[in-house]
Amino acid sequence: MAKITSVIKVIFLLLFLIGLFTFPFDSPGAPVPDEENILIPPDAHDKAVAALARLGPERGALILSSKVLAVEGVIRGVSARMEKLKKALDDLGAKESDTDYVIELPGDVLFDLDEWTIRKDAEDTLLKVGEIIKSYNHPVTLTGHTDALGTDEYNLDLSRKRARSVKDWLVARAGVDASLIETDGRGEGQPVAPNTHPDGSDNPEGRQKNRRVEIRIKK
Amino acid sequence: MTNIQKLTMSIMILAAAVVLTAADVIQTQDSDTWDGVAADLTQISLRNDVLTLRFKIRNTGSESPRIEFLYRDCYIVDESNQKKYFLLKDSEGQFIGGPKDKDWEGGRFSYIVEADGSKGLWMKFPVPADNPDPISISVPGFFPFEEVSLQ
Repeated sequence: MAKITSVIKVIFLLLFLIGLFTFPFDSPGAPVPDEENILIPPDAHDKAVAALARLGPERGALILSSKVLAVEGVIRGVSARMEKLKKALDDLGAKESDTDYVIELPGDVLFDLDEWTIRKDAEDTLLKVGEIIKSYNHPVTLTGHTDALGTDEYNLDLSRKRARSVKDWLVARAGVDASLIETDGRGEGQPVAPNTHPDGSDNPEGRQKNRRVEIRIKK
Repeated sequence: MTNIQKLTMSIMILAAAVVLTAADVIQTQDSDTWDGVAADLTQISLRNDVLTLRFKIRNTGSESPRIEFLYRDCYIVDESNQKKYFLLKDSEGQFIGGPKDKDWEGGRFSYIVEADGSKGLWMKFPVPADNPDPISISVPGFFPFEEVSLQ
């Protein structure tokens, strides 16, 4: 009796297995809700074979001239470079206008307090900036900005030194053409956030936003 | 090991093989037009000198773009022999591929692919005359699939 039961179980399992592998998952009439499993109509292959026969031995081949191949290669190269460039701009949070790309790098990332020497851990960011500038090969303006701590003269001088320092780094380390870059410093004159709260108390978050170097790349 | 245990094990192995086959992707290319969209080349088959390609267009972005191109602009290239082949065309002038939302100019693919969604796509080309290997495949809106082996 036990033997008969085992045989019946095996038969059921075999039937299940046959059903699993012969179910028409990819044939007409079997609705597939998943949008990615698009069905190929059953007559498509016959139509393709007939189409192929009409094309003759060359199968419709279009001979590419070396010029066309070269242009396609250039297009592929340009597309790949544009993709890389777009990613670098996205990584740096660049804003785009009709005429420029604007990247704002936080001063605290680039420099230590009251310093204008580039910090070691800012180098990856600046290398990306360098790649973008070299790809566009268009004029760039670097403008330093500070918070409102310190005198106007001190901040103006510091912002100019910082902008020049970024330029020097980009030229020396990222291989950017120096003639493309102009530098400027605005000190504390163009804040993007209030340096103090309405009650007159210090606003460290606002000041942090104001310490920055703005990179404006002409399109 | 009893026969039933052996059979159960075979079923598990076969089921695992089916799952692995379903997940195969031969090559993936990002879109150069739609953010967060990529195309997976999922299947290549050759029969009677007809090359059938299946793709899955995936949207990993947060937008739901309309992915749109004409089948007449899709092609494969045999770079070693400098030859380009377009989709096969049926007797009514329709390119043999799908899905199509319109029959315009031999067929158009124009579908909204929702965020985290995907859409299948298939095309039939002639197998290049000189049996080159590999080939490249061009689908508008995506970077080219290069060095695709037909072996």
